[in-house]
Amino acid sequence: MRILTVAACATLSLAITPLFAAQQKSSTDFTISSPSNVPGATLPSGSYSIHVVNRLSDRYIVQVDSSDGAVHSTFLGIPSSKLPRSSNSGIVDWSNSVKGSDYLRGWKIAGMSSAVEFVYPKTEAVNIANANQAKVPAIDPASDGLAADPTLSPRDMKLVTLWLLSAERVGPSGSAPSIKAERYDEVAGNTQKPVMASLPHTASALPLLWLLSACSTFAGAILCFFRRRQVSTGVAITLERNR
Amino acid sequence: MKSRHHVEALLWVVALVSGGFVLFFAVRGMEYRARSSELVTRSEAKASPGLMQVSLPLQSQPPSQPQSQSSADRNILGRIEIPSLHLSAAVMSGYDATSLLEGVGHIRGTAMPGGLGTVGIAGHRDTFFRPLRKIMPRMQILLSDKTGTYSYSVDSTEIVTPDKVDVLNIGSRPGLTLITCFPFDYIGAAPNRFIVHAHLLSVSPEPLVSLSP
Repeated sequence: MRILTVAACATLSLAITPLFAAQQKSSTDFTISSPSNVPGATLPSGSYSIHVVNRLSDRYIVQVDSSDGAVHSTFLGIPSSKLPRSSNSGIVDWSNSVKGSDYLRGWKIAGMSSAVEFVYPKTEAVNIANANQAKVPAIDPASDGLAADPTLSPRDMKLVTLWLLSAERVGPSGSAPSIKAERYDEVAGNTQKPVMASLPHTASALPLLWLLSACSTFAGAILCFFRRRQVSTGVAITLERNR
Repeated sequence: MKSRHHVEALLWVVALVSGGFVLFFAVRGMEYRARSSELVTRSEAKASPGLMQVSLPLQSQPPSQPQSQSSADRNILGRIEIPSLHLSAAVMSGYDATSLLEGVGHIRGTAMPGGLGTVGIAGHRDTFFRPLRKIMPRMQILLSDKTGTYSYSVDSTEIVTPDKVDVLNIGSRPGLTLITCFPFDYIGAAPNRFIVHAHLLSVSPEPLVSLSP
């Protein structure tokens, strides 16, 4: 019985592994008629292919290639089940453009129920959230002490903290626009590296110096006072003798 | 008699030197505070042309000592204000001894003002951060840099040992951690740290009106 169970498990795993591999490497071709933005890059109108390079516990690393096969851009995506209906290619746009520029929202992978939602740098994400009144996945590499030049390195893509930005109305009349940020915590697997070994020492020498200055002035003034008094007493004695 | 004269002269020299040193850094702190305000105003005016009217008088001022000013500007990251405590100081790009005499220091590796993460700022308990003794939850902290002014709301305070570096960890929402030594009136190297935790109200910067001159 045990042998049968082990054999069944082995057969199942052998059957599933290529299926997952195929899903990870499956790419989708798409064409855009006007320039559109993906995180950190603008795609001129033309044909492209998109595929997942790496799938981590809470994020995907997505790559867009030009029609000639050259890598155009690499960026982060998060799994999402809330993307609206897409075109045949599976690419979903943000419905409202930002200052006349179109932004791609995500990609519905063919044959899979879930989709990938693209993660934008903070400034772009704030603009998209404002224009679309929706939750936008965002990163802020500078605040994580990482450099995006112009895109993050594969190592940093695994480390950078993911956030969700959403437009809100605050204030008594609900008139002031605001962007709320929440940490994307679908999987809180990232352990944080401390930024320093111990908290800084923050006592300056200025108050002690001020005290030293005040005490020295006081002591100097007392000595000066007694010296002058002694001199004036000496002068008085001399004058007395001269009389 | 002669030795008494020497002592008196020495006392006056010590008083003058130490007093001059204190005065120099007090004036410099004020100068950096004013410069941080100017820097933030200039940057915000560049970012939003609608604010040009506010910034024009500043921009039309003739640049005095351009070289030293630009080097100082490079060290100034922005400005911190707590209106209810009348606290206002330049935020320097580091927290070395000199920077902490000129303003408060941004802790490298932590988020930038308004950034998605926790901003860490350290300051002297006996100069710029002395008013933190009276800080209360829900007080507003304004943090400005070249991208704009960001508003934080105080959540809590705590007293920790210097090894508790996790006060700078990233939480569920963007935050600000202010660090200074504790007790406030301790003479010498204080054994603890006073921590203020605050959270960011909006990731998008606020208009210029929140800045005081």
